[in-house]
Amino acid sequence: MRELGLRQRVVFVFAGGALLLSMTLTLVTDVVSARFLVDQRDRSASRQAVVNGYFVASQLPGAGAEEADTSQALSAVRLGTGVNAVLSTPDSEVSTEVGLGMSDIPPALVASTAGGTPTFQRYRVNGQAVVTVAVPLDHGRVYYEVSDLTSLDVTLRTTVFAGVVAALLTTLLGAALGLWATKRALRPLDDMARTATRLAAGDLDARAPTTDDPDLTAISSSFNAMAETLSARIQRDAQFAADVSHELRSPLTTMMASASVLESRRAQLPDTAQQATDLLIADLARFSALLEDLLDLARDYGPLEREKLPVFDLADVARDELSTSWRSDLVVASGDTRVRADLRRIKRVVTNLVQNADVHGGGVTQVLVARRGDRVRLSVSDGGPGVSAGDREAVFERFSRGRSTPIRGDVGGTGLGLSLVREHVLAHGGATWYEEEPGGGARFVVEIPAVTK
Amino acid sequence: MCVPVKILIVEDDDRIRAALGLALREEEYEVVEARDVAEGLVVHAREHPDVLLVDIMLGGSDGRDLIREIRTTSQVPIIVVSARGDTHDVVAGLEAGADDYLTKPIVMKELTARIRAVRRRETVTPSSGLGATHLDSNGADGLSFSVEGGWLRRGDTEIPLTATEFRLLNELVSHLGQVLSREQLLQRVWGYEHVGDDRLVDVTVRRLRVKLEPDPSSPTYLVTVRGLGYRLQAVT
Repeated sequence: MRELGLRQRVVFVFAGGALLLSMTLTLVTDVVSARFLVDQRDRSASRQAVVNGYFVASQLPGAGAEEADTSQALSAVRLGTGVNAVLSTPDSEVSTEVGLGMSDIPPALVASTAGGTPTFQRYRVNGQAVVTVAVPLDHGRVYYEVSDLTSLDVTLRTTVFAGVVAALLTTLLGAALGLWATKRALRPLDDMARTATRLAAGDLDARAPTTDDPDLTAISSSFNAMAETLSARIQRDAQFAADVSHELRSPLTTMMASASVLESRRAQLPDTAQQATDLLIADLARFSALLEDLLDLARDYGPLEREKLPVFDLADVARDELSTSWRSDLVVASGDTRVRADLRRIKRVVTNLVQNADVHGGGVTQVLVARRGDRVRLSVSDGGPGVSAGDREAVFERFSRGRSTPIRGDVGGTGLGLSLVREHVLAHGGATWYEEEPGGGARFVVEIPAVTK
Repeated sequence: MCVPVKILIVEDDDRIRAALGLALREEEYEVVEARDVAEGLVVHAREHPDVLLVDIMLGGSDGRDLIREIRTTSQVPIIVVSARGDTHDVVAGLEAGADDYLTKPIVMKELTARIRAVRRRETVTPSSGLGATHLDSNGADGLSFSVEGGWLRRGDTEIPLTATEFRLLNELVSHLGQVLSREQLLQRVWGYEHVGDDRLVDVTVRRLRVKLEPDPSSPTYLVTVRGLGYRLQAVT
């Protein structure tokens, strides 16, 4: 079974404690009060019976009284409600109630009268609780007084029932108290969890609410200090990336402008200088591409504001990309291929995929753009050697060495192109993957949500 | 080229300035240089360059101040150069009145393409027929535009336009009442064949609205068509 949470455990302990406490209390109260009530009832019944018994005795003549006399003497006794009497003499018995006789008196009680002192016994007749007091009189006569205890029984039952109800209510109250207490105690933790979630989602300004509670100040302030450090570090990193870009771009401008002069005067240069110039220009281009990719990776695009994005046809972007090299006819489109997306980022995606195919795959052989349910799929195929099974995820990693050997001898990739593709596509809620081209060769596939009405 | 095109480079980095100067002269441009805002203003006044290339961060001074100052008297094409492709830098430069922007490192092919593009005001093809197009029903007092005359007037008063603003307005006037996408405008006005930046269009439209609209914040002539682009409509 799953381990219970802190909150559940506290609630259980509170409820269990309340139950135990209230039950014990009820039990003790019930037992004590029942005993007290019964004792008192027994005593008062005995007292009354003795008084009544002697009264009856005083109404009777000596030994050998007539049955009529005994019956008259018995009827002279004033009995309370629910109380009846039986008078037994050595030769007869009379009772105040029809149907009540010596057969109803327990033999043990009858036997106990031999002692000569009044005794009593509690028992049930037809399910009714009664107490019978036996008062031995002179001349072998015994006066029995039978008191109905039903009302006391009801009282006792009601007390027990009330006790159980009170115990249950107390238990519920205990559970509620536990819930309230944990809620109060755990609220700062909940707040912190929410804040952490917001931080993780990129809201670097999220902070846990401050509190006056001395027990919680430490944790919330140290949490906020951590968040502060984190966001400061992230901002510092972003600033660093921006600074690096500025610092690198300026000298690169000088180098590229100078290189373009060298390039236009290439014919005037000696042979070795020409070769050196070519190398310089090629790697300046690579350096520049690397810098752009690095900045693109470091750039914080922020959350996508979908309603502000333009709607455009992904097939147009692909044709546009390939038209620079007169290859627009490689694009095959089918269905409604319009998307709502950040155009600049999607252009980067297409450019990088085409570049990847050109640099590593010996050139693009086909670009398919097709509607697939609520997404638009774009796949770029090339005629190269493909990607070995183990490297098919690795090629999407930064500076991956998955396809390290450029097919052509010219400028290689930056090693960042495909990871940028994945990043931009994921930001749009899409997906990227690799497929084997049926005739060999690689096929890189991206899918982004289509425009749906 | 009979008369060489004169470029003023305003750049605080000596080596960048020298290298760009070399490369541009190699392309047979005439190049004059300045290293800060004050010198830029002096050289601009003396040399009357055809195109300005202005770095936004000029050491102690701000290239945008130079652009704003020059815009008070001249509609000369200005290209801003930023070391950061950030929205903030670029938009600020365009807001100040620049026609186009480039991000360092500058690729010479791109630079010369941009220079040619911003200088195309003279070669605008008249597409709206002869005479002026009236943009509202206020007759002689209203807003009117003439490609041949090269002017935008409110009544008799000419509203000065930069080369880019002029080309943008011309494009919109010749498609009066039609929606033009940002892509189309980038291609036709800025000459971007493939990769363009929507912000160019948005900022220039904003600048144009300030000149056209009675209330630029709720435009009536040059309206945004959400998700599609912009449309110029005659106000009746």
